[in-house]
Parts: sequence; C-alpha cells; structure tokens
Amino acid sequence: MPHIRLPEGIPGILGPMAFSPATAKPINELAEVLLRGPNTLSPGERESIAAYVSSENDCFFCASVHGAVAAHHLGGNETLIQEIKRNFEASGVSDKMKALLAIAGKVQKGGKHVTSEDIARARQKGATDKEIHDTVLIAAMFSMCNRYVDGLATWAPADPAMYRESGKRLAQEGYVHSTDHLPVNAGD
Amino acid sequence: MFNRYVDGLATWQPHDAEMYRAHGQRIAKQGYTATDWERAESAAAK
Repeated sequence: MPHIRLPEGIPGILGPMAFSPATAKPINELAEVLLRGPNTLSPGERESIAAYVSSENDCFFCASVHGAVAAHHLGGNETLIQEIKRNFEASGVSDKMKALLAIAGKVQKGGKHVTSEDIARARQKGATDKEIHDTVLIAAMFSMCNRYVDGLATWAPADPAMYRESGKRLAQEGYVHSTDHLPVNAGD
Repeated sequence: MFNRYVDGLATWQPHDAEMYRAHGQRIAKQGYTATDWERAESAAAK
C-alpha cells in the first residue's frame, strides 16, 4: 500500500508522477537529456549506470525498468545487466565502464565517498570529464528517483514481461511523453 | 540528488556566511530559473 493515495494500478514512479504532473515534467526532461541526449556514452551504457545505482539502492521498480531499457539498447542482453548488478568488476563491460560504475556506486553511498583515485582510474581508462560528470549526475538523479519511488511505497509489478515491454517502449520513444497517457491530477 | 551531484564532483564551496546570505536573498527574490544571477552577483560584489 502506498503511503499516500495514489491512482491505483499505476506502477512505480508513474503513480506519483500522475499525482504530481508539475514535478513529473522536469524529471522526465532531465532523464531524456541525461540518458538519451547526444553523448559519447551510449544510451545502453547510461541506462546500465542507472540500473546499477537503482539496484544498489534496492529499488526494485527502477532497477527492473532501467535494466530492461539498457538490455533493449544492448540488443536484448539481459545477462550483462544481471552481471553488472551482481558484480560489475567481473562483468563483460569495458574497463572505462567499470571505472564509471565504481564512481556511480560511490555516489550512491554519498557524494563524499568518491575519491580522487576513483576519478584517476576513470581518466586512465579513457573517460572524459564530461563522461565523469554525467556519471555522477546519473547516479545522483537515480538516487533521487529511487527514494521518490520507495519513500512513497509505490506498487511494483513482479512480472518481468511487463518490464521488458516498458523497457522496449522507453528505449524507443524516450521519456518526455512517457507519462502523457496517465490520468491528470489523479491524486487531487 | 543535488547533494550527491555537488559532493560527487568535489566542487568548491565557499565558507563565508555572508555569501550564502546574499545568494539566499537573491534566490528567494528571483527564483531558480533566473539565468543571470551569477553575473548580477559578481557585479554587485564590485
């Protein structure tokens, strides 16, 4: 049961987004720029960072949705996403991505956990300042979304097929209009 | 989110309370979407 009255049957972050469209809009716009805008990190890599941070925050809904978006971008490679969540250092991602995921994991614990050694490692593996910046902001943003979703005790479906479906839709259509179909001001 | 963004990049943070007072006042008056506050502040400081 969600802690406040949210429209029923709307999963995860979509419930509070339907409840509060004014805040949903900038959150979706930030997700669009950060995860899908022009970038040297592919959408699959950026979604993997989002899924990993969500998994570290134990946010089942976000970890499942963004894991599914990442897998869709990566040609349906769900195994890789599972590996990243379990132990990214032993996964099949590039050394640069491992260094960026390490930074993201530190940001998830709190910004001050990031060390200059973490940054040096990422640079040494070829990460640019823009890539380091975006990694920190993705990790920070998802720590926000994870707390938003779980702080209100939203409902999260258990069926992996549902996440696969919404992962595919978000990968193809993006975030800006992803909540247009929700009932307006459902919480009022 | 903002805390992790600011500290995850180890940004520089002034310790002068007066600076935060002036900055707070400006934000309270002009809000967050005014884009020229930085210029306005440095001009005011001169």
